[in-house]
Amino acid sequence: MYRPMSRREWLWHAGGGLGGIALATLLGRDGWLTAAPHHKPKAQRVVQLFMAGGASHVDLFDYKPELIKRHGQPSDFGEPVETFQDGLGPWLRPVWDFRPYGQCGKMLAEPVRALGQVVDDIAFVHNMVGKTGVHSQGTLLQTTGFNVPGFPSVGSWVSYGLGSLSDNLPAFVVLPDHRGLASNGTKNWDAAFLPAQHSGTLMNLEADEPIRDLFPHRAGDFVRPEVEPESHRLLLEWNRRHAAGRYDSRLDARIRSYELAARMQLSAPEALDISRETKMTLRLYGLDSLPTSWPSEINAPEETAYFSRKCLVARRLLERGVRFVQIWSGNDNSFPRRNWDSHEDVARDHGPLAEGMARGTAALILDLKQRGLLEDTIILWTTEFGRMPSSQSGKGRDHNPYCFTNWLCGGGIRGGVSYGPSDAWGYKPLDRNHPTQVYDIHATILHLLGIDHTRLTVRHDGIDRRLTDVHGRVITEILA
Amino acid sequence: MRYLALAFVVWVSGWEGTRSFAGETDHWSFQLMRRPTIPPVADGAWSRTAIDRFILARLQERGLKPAPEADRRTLIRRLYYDLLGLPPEPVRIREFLSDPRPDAYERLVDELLASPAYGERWARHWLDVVHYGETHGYDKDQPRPNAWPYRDYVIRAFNSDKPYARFVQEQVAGDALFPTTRDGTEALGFLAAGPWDLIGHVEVPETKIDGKIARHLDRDDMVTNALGTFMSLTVQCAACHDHKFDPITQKDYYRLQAVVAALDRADHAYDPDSQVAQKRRDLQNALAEWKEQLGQVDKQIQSKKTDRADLLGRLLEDVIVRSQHPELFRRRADCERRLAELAKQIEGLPPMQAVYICKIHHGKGAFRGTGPDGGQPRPIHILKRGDVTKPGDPVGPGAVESVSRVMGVMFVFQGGDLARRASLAQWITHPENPLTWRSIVNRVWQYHFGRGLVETANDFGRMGAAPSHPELLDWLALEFRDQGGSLKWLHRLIVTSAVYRQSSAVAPSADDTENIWLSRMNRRKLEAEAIRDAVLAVSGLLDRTMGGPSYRDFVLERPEHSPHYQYHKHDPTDPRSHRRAIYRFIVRSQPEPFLTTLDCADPSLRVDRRNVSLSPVQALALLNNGLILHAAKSWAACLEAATDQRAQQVARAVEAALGRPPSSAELEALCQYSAKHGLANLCRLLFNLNEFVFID
Repeated sequence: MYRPMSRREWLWHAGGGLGGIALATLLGRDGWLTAAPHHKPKAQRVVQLFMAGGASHVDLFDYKPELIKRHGQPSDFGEPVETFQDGLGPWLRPVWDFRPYGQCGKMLAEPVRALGQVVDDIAFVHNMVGKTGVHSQGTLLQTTGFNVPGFPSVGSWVSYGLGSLSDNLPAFVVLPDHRGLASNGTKNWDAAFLPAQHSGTLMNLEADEPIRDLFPHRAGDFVRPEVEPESHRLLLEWNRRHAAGRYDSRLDARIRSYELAARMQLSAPEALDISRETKMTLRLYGLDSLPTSWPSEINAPEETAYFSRKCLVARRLLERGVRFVQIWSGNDNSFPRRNWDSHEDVARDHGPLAEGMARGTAALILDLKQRGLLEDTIILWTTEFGRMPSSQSGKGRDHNPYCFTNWLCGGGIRGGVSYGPSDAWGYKPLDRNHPTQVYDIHATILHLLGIDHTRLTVRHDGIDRRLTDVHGRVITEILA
Repeated sequence: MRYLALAFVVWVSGWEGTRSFAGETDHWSFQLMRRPTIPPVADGAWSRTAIDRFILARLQERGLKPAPEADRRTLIRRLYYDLLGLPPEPVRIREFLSDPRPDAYERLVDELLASPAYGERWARHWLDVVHYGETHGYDKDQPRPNAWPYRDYVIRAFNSDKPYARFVQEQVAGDALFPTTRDGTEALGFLAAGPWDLIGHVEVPETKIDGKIARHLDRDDMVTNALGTFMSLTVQCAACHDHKFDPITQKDYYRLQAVVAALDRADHAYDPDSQVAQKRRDLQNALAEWKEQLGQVDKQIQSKKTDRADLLGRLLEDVIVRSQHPELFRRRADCERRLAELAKQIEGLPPMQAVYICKIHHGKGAFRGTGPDGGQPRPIHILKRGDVTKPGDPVGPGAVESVSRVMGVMFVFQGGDLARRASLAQWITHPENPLTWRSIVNRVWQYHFGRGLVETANDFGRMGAAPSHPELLDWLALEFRDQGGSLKWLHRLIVTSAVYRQSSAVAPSADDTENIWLSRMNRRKLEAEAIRDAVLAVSGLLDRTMGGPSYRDFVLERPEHSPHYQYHKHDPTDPRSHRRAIYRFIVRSQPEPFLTTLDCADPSLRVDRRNVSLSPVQALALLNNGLILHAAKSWAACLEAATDQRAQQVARAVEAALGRPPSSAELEALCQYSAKHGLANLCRLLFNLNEFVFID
């Protein structure tokens, strides 16, 4: 009558005979599929760029001449529309001019012009649809594939599936906007029911202590650096003696975790230290000559400094074996806005945020390319939802979960394409029967990583859970 | 909005999508419990309880032998952490080691079960399962400052050994079944324990699609929590279609939603003191009576008057009636005096306290609740594919029909909110309910052994695991039920068994590497809270104050919009944060990093069994976290104050942390180390030992 769970699942849960399971697996070095991916991977690493608050597709990437033509006329969607805050004012033209870039001639708005340099490497997806216009649910849906809390982040799934490429750094790193966390906070990089080491490790670059507890807290002034070698030696001896005769490889794994911790203390600060980057590299990211203080109003140079620094650190982390880096933009969830939730004034908030994002991102893409890393690193640009083509309070826009834009780049993505057009206003997909959803984006990313999204499952509360739930189609149209 | 299909869709590779399990109750957990005969086994000398015979029978079938009994030092440490979540003090260990009485062990068990720390320990397990938190979660994660009375209720329930049926009934329908009791109110925090979408309720009315989704998800959380916690059923899988594996129809699911359809989550004012509550009720009744009398007197006075419209005429008439009927006016004045007196008395009562529960909410704006409409449950429809824009047939309240059929009892679900929930509570706790009793004994077993007789404590359906010892499970469930649902009885039975007293330090048998058949005890890695509490306890910092508002180990910034919970700004030396971890203020969006790293439960998930992970980040947390270092430092100061003999300081520290004295070689090495680097570094080292965080 007895039917066991998967061996691996059980090993995580209880004590006893762990014969045959490698310590490296216990500590997350190896993923579930490292040894045998479902198919040959094109990519090894992922960077997810997340614009919190809902970035406007129609003002940045999805050019709509029809809106320019009808600017100021009463908006008419040809059907009743329910918006989050009743933002159904007159049609509002893109607040910036668009110009063509690259071989592909993709139209991009003024603030994101920096991406023009790399636009031939980018595949745009213009027919994304969400489920609701509520921030928390929109955010969770894009980070975990579900609009309720309790599901692992895409980064956690990748970490679980593939493990880390490094012994010294975690597989999944999160670089937050230092001004706050997104809706749902850490749920957006949580391992949920996957083992805890697959949660994203937070590295707040603007904080005094970017990685929590990496070094002794100030309450421990007695822990001087010269103490540590002897402490570690004593700990090791004692733990080894204790493990003998106990037949429990968790005890050995924990011994090993202290060795790795000591290594992480050396490697993590080094990975975050951009001071030894060349002047040329710093210039590429716009980090070469920063002022010592910033104006109080939101401004493009300051946003560039914050975002670019994260991009540069992301490159350093990727080089050192981190699998998945999640970068956040705009998480000051209050007023004045430092987020993309431009209900009142798109130009005011989107302008500086987009300039900073585009500069840092373009630099990251160019930098990865010149180092030969772009070919196996996927970059995904995403957000909670888009914004309505109609206006709200004159210069702002309401949430648009019915249509928004994602774009991908590198790691086996075909550049210079725009897939899945939206309708003339950017209100809904042109082909409403075949929209793209987050499941398709995630399925595509897993596919490039060598994973069949229908086969990476973990049983939880009676259901074999997948990142893509019961959905997902690999978007072959944007594969190289 | 075609894309609203909710997340609760089951998908399984190769699923054909045609077969329904709706009527099939042949799965083990849907069958009535059967009382098995206790297996007659040889080696009766080993068996101490009926449990042992069930286990031994299986071991013998497989040619396995139980491990020898652990020594007393190991046993007392195991019992303390298991029952109290705290380390035994060295003096208590020595007492136990030298206790010559044959029932020394049983006496220790009784002593621990009588300790208030037992309720604190086991309430934490319960709060894991019900996903209790003290912020709403989702966007703008606002605090719930009045959630804690539910936590205290759970602790009290464990400590007072509340009969399990009553414990369940109070949490589902305390206001209906035990309306005048404190527990009947505070227990309702159960239904409100999970996350709540503030924006979806407060900024979006029910008339909008997003508002409908938010309320649908809200009811889903209540129903999922209730059936998952008490019956280990995954009814949420039937939100979009009939359950793919278990006999739960979509109609069952929406009937359950109808049971809670009048409710919302909100603060509720009440009197924790039942005498005050009674007094307030009496006074309010009296107030109502006198108000009515006043109304009658006024009516009589009015009847003496004619319909003079002009002001002068009315005044004149007043004077006339007053002189003709003075007794009426005396009565009127009397009423007014009594009313004023009563109002004053009510005012003089101790202030009411608030508790965050599910209730009929009388609100305004988008979050008005059902109160303004008389508290009638919202109409519930079967939603096609779980889509709020596709309501199908309306459904009334009810439970899972297949289970009722098995029980052979037809429950009547009708009436308003109270009646509906009372029916659900009685249905869940019915003596013949095949799931409820098995579910709870399995949970308790799991916390004692690290693994349940059914591995999937939240899922007794076809996708869950089957029981390793089905007869033992039924025997325990029936005995537990028939003993009146006493959890302390169950604990005592389990921990006094020979199975539980086995050693963990034996080589695993090749035939039972995963120890399914319990040929030895499982070694336990201490949970996050137990590590933290043990560190505070041995270092002498632990504040044992019970109950009340939670301690906050963060600094709350910018609470007016989206609060920032700044843990790194908290001062770890603040003694207010040195209470047991069960009293921690639990934030959903920004969980406390130290305990989270150590695998504490995520309050957004209904956690039946915690992950046990090992990582460099955990090692760093135990080496460098402020609380650990502060505890090491103050512990060292205590040791130094107690004696100036280094060897004694070291020996005492080791005994307090590990429950045993150091060997002479260990003592020497540690004395050398602490002479060189100070005692605080030694204390820090002890907190990091495998021997400290693993319990044999």
